Amino acid sequence: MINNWLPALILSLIVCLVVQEAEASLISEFAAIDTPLDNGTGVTLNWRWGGLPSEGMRLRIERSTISNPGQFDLVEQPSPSSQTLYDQGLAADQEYLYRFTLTDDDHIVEVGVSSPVTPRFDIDLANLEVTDALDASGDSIALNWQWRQRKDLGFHLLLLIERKESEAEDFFEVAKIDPAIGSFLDNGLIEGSNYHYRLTILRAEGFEPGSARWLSSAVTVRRNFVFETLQVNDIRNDQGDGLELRWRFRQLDSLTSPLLHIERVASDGSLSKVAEVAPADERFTETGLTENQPYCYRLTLFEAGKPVAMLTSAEAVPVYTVFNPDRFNALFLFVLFCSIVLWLINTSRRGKDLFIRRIAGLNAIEDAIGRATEMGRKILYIPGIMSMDEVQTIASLSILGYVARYAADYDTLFEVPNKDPITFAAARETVREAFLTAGKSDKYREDMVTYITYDQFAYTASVCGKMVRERPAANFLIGSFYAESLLLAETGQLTGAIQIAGTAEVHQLPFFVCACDYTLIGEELYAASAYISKDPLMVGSIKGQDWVKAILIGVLLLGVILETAGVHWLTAFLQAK
Amino acid sequence: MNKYKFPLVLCFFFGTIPIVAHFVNVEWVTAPSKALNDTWMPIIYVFAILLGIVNVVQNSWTKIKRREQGWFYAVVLLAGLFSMGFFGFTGAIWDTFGGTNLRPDGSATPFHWMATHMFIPLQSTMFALLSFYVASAAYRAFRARNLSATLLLIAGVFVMLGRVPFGDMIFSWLPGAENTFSGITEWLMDCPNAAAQRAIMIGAALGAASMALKVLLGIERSYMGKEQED
Amino acid sequence: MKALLDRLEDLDRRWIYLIVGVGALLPLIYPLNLPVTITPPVRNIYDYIEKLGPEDAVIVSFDYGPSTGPENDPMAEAVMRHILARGIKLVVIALYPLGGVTMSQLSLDRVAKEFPELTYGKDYVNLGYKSGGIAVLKAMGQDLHTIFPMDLAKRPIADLPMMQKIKSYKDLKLAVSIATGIIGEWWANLVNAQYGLPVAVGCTAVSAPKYYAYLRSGNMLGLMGGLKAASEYEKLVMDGYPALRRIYERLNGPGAGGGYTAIKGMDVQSVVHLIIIAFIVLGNLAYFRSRKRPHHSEE
Repeated sequence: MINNWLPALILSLIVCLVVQEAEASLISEFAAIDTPLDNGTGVTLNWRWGGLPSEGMRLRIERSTISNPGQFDLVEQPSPSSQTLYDQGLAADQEYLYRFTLTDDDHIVEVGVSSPVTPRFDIDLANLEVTDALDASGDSIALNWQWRQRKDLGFHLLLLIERKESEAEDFFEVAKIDPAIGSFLDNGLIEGSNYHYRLTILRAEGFEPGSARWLSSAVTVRRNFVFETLQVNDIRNDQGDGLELRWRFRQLDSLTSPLLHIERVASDGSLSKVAEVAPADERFTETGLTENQPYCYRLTLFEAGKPVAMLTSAEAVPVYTVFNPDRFNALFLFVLFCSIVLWLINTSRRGKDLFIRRIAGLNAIEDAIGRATEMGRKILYIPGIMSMDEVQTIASLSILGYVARYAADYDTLFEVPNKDPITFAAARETVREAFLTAGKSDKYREDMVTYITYDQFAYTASVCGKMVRERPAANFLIGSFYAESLLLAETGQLTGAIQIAGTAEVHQLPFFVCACDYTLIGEELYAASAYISKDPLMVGSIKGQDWVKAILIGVLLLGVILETAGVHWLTAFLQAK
Repeated sequence: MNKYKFPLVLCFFFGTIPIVAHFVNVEWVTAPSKALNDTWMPIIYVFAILLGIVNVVQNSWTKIKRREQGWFYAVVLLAGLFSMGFFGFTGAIWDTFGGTNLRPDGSATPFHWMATHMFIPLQSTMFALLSFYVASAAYRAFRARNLSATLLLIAGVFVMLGRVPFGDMIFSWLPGAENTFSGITEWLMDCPNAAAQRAIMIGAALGAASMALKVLLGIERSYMGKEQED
Repeated sequence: MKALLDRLEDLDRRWIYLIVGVGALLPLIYPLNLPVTITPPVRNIYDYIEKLGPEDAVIVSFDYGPSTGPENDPMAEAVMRHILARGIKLVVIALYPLGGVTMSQLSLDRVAKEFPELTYGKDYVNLGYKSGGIAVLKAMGQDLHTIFPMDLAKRPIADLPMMQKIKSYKDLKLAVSIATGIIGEWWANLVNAQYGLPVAVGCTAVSAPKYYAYLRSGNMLGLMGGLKAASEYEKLVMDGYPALRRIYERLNGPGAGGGYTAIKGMDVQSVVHLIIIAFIVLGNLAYFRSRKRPHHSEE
């Protein structure tokens, strides 16, 4: 190696000696060394400056390589008093020679040459990424890098991480860590703020060369998702083997593939996987557990295969409950309702006279039947289109019994077409019994009560046809009706019949009100049997339901006041579960 | 026990089971409750349907036999009943004629053809009659006889106009007022209508609950054909 | 004029029927293409479905029969087109006993033909009809596969790829009930209240007033009440999806050459509403005239 450099070295020495003959040297101890703790691309030049520079003085630093030893290229023209220059971007493991030339108004004052120097790889911090960390708290920034280090470095290093919030501020120390860790999470930041980071390599003993340093651009801290409030509760109303997990999750940033791992934490701390679910489900039920044994869960949120957040629950115990406590409110109201109704039934039975207001539609039943009798035309009774599991149909049959008895008493023609087969069977029994009670069993005919068809509109077409052909004088449309209500009522109106309707279907009531002479609205239908029979037990039940309605109105008003005042216990209590 | 007591006991027993099942979580209570709905009800229904069909056939046959007025329509009724019943029954149980839905090649089975070409158009026709009947009922009923009838009339006109584009077109020339009629309609439906509906629903629900309680306790027996005991 | 008003007092209703009939027929032959304004209850359904994607599944329940087909079919088809256009998995069932399954089959076949790139079993299924009403809705909350072990074509549901991941309400994002009667209420009262599944209902205009109470209480996220709401949904999907716009432009073509849509039906409804309002006004004029008449005769 020294043979390659020998000619240039000798020539430079001669020049130096010649120049040094002229005056005392201003630059001394000019040396080039491998920049310590860098990635092998840097050389540090040091010199000592003696004296004050004049205005015309210029220092020129040049470099040549082994491949072209005589060719010196300009590196830089630093100020002579700076005494240090970092030359970077060199090729590792290649020899370089440096020369300085001090001139004063273009006259060469001094020239010097350094010893050959070979920059070597010591460390490298590559692929530095400073990003907002995926978290729910919105207060973390993640720093990641790849670290390489020469094995025979001989000393320990630390990575100094510094941070500042704005350009004008100075950096302050955040942490000193082993650079080989490769990552660092900076917590406790303020959501929405921008941060800059500076990373510097230090020797553990405290030496600070200052060359191995990296800077990041501004990073904004954000809350990326909401993942909180994990609760584990016993599932009520089960066999005592189920727990329900609930958590809150909301995506605030775009996540590519969030996945939630649910694991059960055993008493010894071991984990067993339960399920993988979408975090947006916010609910998970596990069954098949052991009754009265405590369970604890850990939920880990993964994003693109990496865990980003974790929640651990408190212990919960699945318990078998005979009574479903969530339905206590329904039981309370049910008991209250039954108690009031039974109390008033009892009161009425003891002879107390209870008032029921006049219901015009029910008063008109006898008039309608009388009209049909006088005109010699029939009565058509339609008990609705639903089956006996519908309470309106039961109410309708109770009215049918009375109408049939009046019809039997007055010898009026009577017909009951049915849509539902079970209602048909019950209606037939009702009419037969009514005729029997009236002592007119011989007047009863099987074809008074007929089954038409189960189809809604086919039934309607048949009944409308009967109305138009046979022109009954009185139509009773009492029970549960749907779309056919207007068809029936309007056809009956067309034929000139007196019509008494009654239904609790609120969206059919307007049609009946428009097209019929009398309409029993909602609960008037249910009150009919009590109103007509005046039976104390029935009247008492009507009063009972009125009392409950009054209590409900009071509760409604109280609820409105409490809700307006921000008090929610009543609403919470009455919530259906 | 006379013939009405036993049904009352049955009614009480089977009516109480679903109520108890709603509150307690005991297998021997919830299982019968489920079985009632899933198994017993369909069985009872099938027998009742059979009763109904027999009644229809009997009445229609009597009409045909006596050549009563309109007897020909009884023939049409029976023809429809038996043909559709035959294709439906055999198709559903034995998959004859390709079943009751479309065949895999997209062609219609006889049952499906009758359903789409006869049953559906007839149903639609009957439902379409409603529009004519609504017109005649509205013409007759929406008269400003008194204050409440006048309010009904005005609300009805607003809702009718708001439900079609013409209503909004009336004020479309005013900037920002394009949705006036539909907005008024929505308010009428949302507030006065919803309030009245809820009130009637609450009253009807209480009446139904009271009626159900009477049936369970045997106070109301008219559905059995038996009037109240004196 | 007075003679006319006197005659209007006892107008034969067949004149009303005739005028209404003509008013219903003409817009079908000469479409008016009236503008459609969108109301919030309908937009809520649209916006909710817009947030869903190919990973999600929606159940559409055909709870109506042929009688209300002209009103319910357009809303069912518009919703299904929207769902399929977004690549959301579609599960179709029917709970209405009379004709529900037929309506579901006809509508789904019509709509599926417009999406030839989608596959039955992978993107949409028709599980057919199940009787039982409330019991079925409750059971679906536990295990859909037990209630519907086979699809409409009697294929085991376990063999349908998309149904591997759909076991109960927990695996669905929305239930849309196109209903004519009480079944829509069951969805809102039971499925939403007890299982937390968002529910939207499309119903006939007659039932719509009843459903506003559930909409207000939050048991339903949206409501399509009647043909107008169906036309609003059609307009929304037309504005949002050019492919669907082309489909609807073809269907909205004049006469029988096109098909039937709610927008076309709204022309009819609009004209008939105007006719009814006109008759109401004339009827009231005749009524006021008849009230004055006794005073004139007394004088």
